Amino acid sequence: MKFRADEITSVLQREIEQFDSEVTRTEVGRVLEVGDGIARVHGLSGVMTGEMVSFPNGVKGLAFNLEEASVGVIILGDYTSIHEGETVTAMGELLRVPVGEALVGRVVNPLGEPIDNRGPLVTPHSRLVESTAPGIAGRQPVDEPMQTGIKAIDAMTPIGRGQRQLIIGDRKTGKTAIAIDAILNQKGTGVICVYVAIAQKESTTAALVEVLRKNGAMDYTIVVAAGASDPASLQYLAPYAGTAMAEYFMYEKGGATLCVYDDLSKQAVAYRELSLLLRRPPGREAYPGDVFYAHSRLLERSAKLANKYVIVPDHAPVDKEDVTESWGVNGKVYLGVPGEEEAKHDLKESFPTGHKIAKTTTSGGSLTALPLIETLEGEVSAYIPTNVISITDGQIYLQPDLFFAGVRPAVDVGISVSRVGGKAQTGAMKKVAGGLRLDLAAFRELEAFAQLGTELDKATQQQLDRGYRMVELLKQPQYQPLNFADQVMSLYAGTEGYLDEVPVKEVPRFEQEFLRFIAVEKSSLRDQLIKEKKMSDPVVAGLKAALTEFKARFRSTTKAATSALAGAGA
Amino acid sequence: MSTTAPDVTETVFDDKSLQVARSYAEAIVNVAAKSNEVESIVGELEEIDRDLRVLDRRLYSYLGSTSVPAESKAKVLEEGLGGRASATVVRFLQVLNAHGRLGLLQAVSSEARAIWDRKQNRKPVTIQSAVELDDSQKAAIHDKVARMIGATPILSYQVDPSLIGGLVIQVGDDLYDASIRTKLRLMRSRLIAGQARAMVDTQL
Repeated sequence: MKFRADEITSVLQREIEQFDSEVTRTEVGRVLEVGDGIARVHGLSGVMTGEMVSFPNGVKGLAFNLEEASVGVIILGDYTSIHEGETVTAMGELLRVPVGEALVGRVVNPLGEPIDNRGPLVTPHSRLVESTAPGIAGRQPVDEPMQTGIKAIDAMTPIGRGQRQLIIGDRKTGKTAIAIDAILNQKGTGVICVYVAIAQKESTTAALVEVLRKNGAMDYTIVVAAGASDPASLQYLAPYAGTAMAEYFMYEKGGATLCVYDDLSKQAVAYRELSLLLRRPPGREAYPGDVFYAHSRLLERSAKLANKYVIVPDHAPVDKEDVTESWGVNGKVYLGVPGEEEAKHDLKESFPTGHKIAKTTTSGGSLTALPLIETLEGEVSAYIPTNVISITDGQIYLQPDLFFAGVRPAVDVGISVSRVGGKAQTGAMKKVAGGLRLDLAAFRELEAFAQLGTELDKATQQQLDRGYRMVELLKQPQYQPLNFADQVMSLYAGTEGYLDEVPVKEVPRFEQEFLRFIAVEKSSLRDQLIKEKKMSDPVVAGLKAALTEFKARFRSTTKAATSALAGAGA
Repeated sequence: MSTTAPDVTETVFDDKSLQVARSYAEAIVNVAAKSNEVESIVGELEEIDRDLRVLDRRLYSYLGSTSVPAESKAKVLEEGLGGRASATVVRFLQVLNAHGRLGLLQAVSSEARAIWDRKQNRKPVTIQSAVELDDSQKAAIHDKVARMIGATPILSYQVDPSLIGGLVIQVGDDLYDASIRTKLRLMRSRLIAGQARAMVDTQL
């Protein structure tokens, strides 16, 4: 970084020359008491709830409780240097955070101030931290996949863009790992990711940022961090701030975004702390009555926004330039799925030739949320887990038993669901993974039965063997998300029985080598699958041929091991 | 209901007792209004409160204490104020005492003043300046402020050299700041913001 002193001087000179100030009118109050990150203020009679206030030491606060004689303020920063009797100034606006492209690749606190030692953040855009969620007309059904790159999830609990999928499990079961893999898998897809770290150890967050950076994910990721040592107020605000940063890309750019809230249990605890200090009445588990609303209004902001369509002439450069609403030849903008129908009708009626329908560039953005919830001893019927389960569109359960048995990601397929993601799954994946969930559930039952040592008939034994191999196939190492085509080909090999003669322990190696074989020797097949996104006849035929060819080769290298281990089960 | 001795230290403001104090203040203002002597009675209350707090803190905490029986305090009030204060004020203090609210005297008197000021369309206004203002300046300010707030201002002046220059006028919760200190602060923050932009510009 080089600065030219004369440039800086001229900038300063210009600023001073243009400096013009009038009498400022502000609303003030005085601190009655302060402590534990909370201040009670007398005065500020016209302050709005959620309005920013400023203390003489420069720390900002948020008017939270408006009472008859005083205002309860949560302090967003160091409260130890605020004294009784000091003047508090209302700032006249609700809490906002800077947003925009400048934040991508940065680590910021919930106020949008950079904390990564990489210089100031300059952006002309800002958004309200608390904003209302889009309404019914502004949305459209979830129909695009948000690939996590994790076989077990993309196959059985698929996530769509705009969906809210909960990741729930005990501590140390790999919740963050799934979210991080999902972020890593967005590389090259244009999806902007926001990772919100709430009340985590600074060392953990630092390590995580390093992982993202090493894998090139910081090029499209914003990290919002409120550490364990930050005030509860910042921990409470972090998810809302992160969402506001993602919303910029959803609303203004029509982009797809992914927000990870890691984790909402800690945010609920921070909110409980604030509420109790502000003397709001405690409810179940001492959480305030509106803790449900705290989470529902946050997750409601995830959305798949409706596409907007305009009718444009055939020669319009829709691929090269941004399509805006003013392009419409009849001045009409068609909103969402019903709008598209109407546009088709209008096109047929009024513009029989020379025109087409185009989607405006800034419409149709999405915000996918991956909230995390930590349970205690698998207790999902505690207050916060039940709340968030009921708000989200599905959940991924992680089980410690599976985790320690080496099944990683430790997804419990039986109770993990995705309520809307199925519609967003690609045709190919749907075909391959259609029966997988039920098969695996049946396998789990059989497995328990088989442990009794009963004599099994051949068909049952075969089902068991297939199950062991599928479980093995669904294991996936951390930080190695797979492209959907690779996932489809792997799963196809498993469900179609190509792995049946491969020893269970050899399955990962088989998969790895098979995918390398495809990438090197059959890349056209892979490209075709990526392009078509469905199991068309030529793709299936090609895949079958490739598998047969590869299997012959694979077997020849491990003949001895195969005969010794075949059918041995686990 | 608090049973501890009321706080008579210089705290900003005890908002918990405000509600109670307001009821008593309204009552005394209404009583005084009947005999048209609100101004003098409110003045007397303020004077008693000030005298007690400034001149005789021990008597003040004695009167405010809930562990002293009301009868003995009543006697002190009767003997101490009888004849010297107006009968209405003494009666009012006796009522406060009978209800165990003598500790609220400060809140009641300031609340009574606020209620009376509001009824008279008067507003307390604080003027801060860097240097002592002379009389012509004060008169000019009085006229300006009166026109600005549409009420009779009750001005109180404070000198604060840290303002450097200019004036700061506070009416209720509204603060009109035309001080050099604030202008410099504003300029500083704008320069920092401008500099950050310039730094990023040169980087690009």
